[in-house]
Amino acid sequence: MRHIPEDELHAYLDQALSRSQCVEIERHLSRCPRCQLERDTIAALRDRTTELLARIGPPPIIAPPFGQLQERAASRRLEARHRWLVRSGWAASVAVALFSGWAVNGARHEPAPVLPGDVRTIPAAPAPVAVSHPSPIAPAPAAAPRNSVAIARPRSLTRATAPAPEAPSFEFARTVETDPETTFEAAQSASVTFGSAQLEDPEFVIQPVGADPGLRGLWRTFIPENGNAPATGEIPLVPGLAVVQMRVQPGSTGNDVTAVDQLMDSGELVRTIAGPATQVAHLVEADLADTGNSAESSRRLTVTVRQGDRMVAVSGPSQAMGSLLARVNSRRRY
Amino acid sequence: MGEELEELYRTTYTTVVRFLYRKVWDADRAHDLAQEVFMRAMHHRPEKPRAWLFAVAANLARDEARAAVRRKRHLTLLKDDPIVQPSIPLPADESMEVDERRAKVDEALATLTKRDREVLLLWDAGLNYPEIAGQSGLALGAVGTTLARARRRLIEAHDRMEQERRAAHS
Repeated sequence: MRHIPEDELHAYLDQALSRSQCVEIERHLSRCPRCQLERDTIAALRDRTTELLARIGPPPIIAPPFGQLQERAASRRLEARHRWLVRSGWAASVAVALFSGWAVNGARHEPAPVLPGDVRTIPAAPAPVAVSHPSPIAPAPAAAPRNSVAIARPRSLTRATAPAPEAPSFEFARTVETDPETTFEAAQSASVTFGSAQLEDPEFVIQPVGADPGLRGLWRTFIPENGNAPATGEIPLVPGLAVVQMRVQPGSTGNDVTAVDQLMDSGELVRTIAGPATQVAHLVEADLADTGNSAESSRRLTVTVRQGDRMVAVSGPSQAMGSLLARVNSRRRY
Repeated sequence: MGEELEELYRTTYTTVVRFLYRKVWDADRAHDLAQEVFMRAMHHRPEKPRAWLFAVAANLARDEARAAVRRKRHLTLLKDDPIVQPSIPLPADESMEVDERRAKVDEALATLTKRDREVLLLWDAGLNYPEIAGQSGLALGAVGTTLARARRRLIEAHDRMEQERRAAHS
């Protein structure tokens, strides 16, 4: 006859067996004195264990009323809701403050109205002549929108002096990274303040350049503060950017070619070449021939603007060029 | 659900407190944690409330133990003393005899393996076999065997210490 294993008797006394198992065990116990003795021994062991463990057990446990627990839970929910509201308030305050700052900053960059007498339109001015270098990445000017130009304007522009009547000057405001495509399209469709005149519907020429466009010919580095600046009036450059180098190719009176290298905040180079249109165009063409269609050349652009026999070519990273042109349009004299 | 939870609270609160007491060894803290468990149950409305209660209670006790170890370590660092493992605190107002009896049970328990001691204390807290299996990670069929061995070894260890004490006195 099979006797009941010890662990099954423990489980039986612990009421851990199914009803059918219990019936089977009780049937066996009723006719097996040995298993009865074993059961009684285990029951005593179990009772002693309980008694021993009770010595290290907790003091008598009295459950607090369930209602008290419910009140605590409700109070905690209220506290959590209050905390959430306070945090939400703080978050909303911060968001409003940030939005306000952004909005105020944006408002400061709204285009200022053109002051009467600030610029003049010269419909009979010599038409800007494009240095035609078709570029695969250059957007077609004809496809660009021709109205509703929204151009950002920095709050403080670099001080500009009045242009000399006989030597039109070029001036660019500080370059700010903005949405390049939008601004670029806008810049193309805008009129350009060019020296003391405003050109309506100018034609831009955009072409890729190398990372470090070379300047052919002999150049002399100069420092304006030392008094050795060329006698071409103001040196075209992008105000607000750090000047790395200023060079000049002396020509006849007023026909110097100047090249100014400047660094953007991003560390990229912006080069402004200005002078007689033929010489500047020649330098740009030579640079294009040097660089070809490399990957680097597609990342940078040169934009040339011509007025009469003078031309300015600005080379820089293509993504900043749009905003640079926008600053050209937003030029304002004080 | 509210009535079911109230019934569960009435029938299980004591077991949860005992279960927690075996883990944190502090009656007040065990009560606090048990009430925390039931308040969370009011919020979560678990489908299997009894198993859920013990699972949450075990997690809370584990967090409590970790916090206690951190506090102890922090104090130890402040005092520049070696780290001492938490032991079962004894109420100061209990008599010396009671303290001695408790100490003997502690010593007897200390002779068991960790698994045997855990299963025995879970059973003493009031958990059933499936719950013990769930808490200890044992197979359900192994709970009875482990429990039988743990009970036998506890009684044997306690009786042996009792005999040694008598022999020492005589």
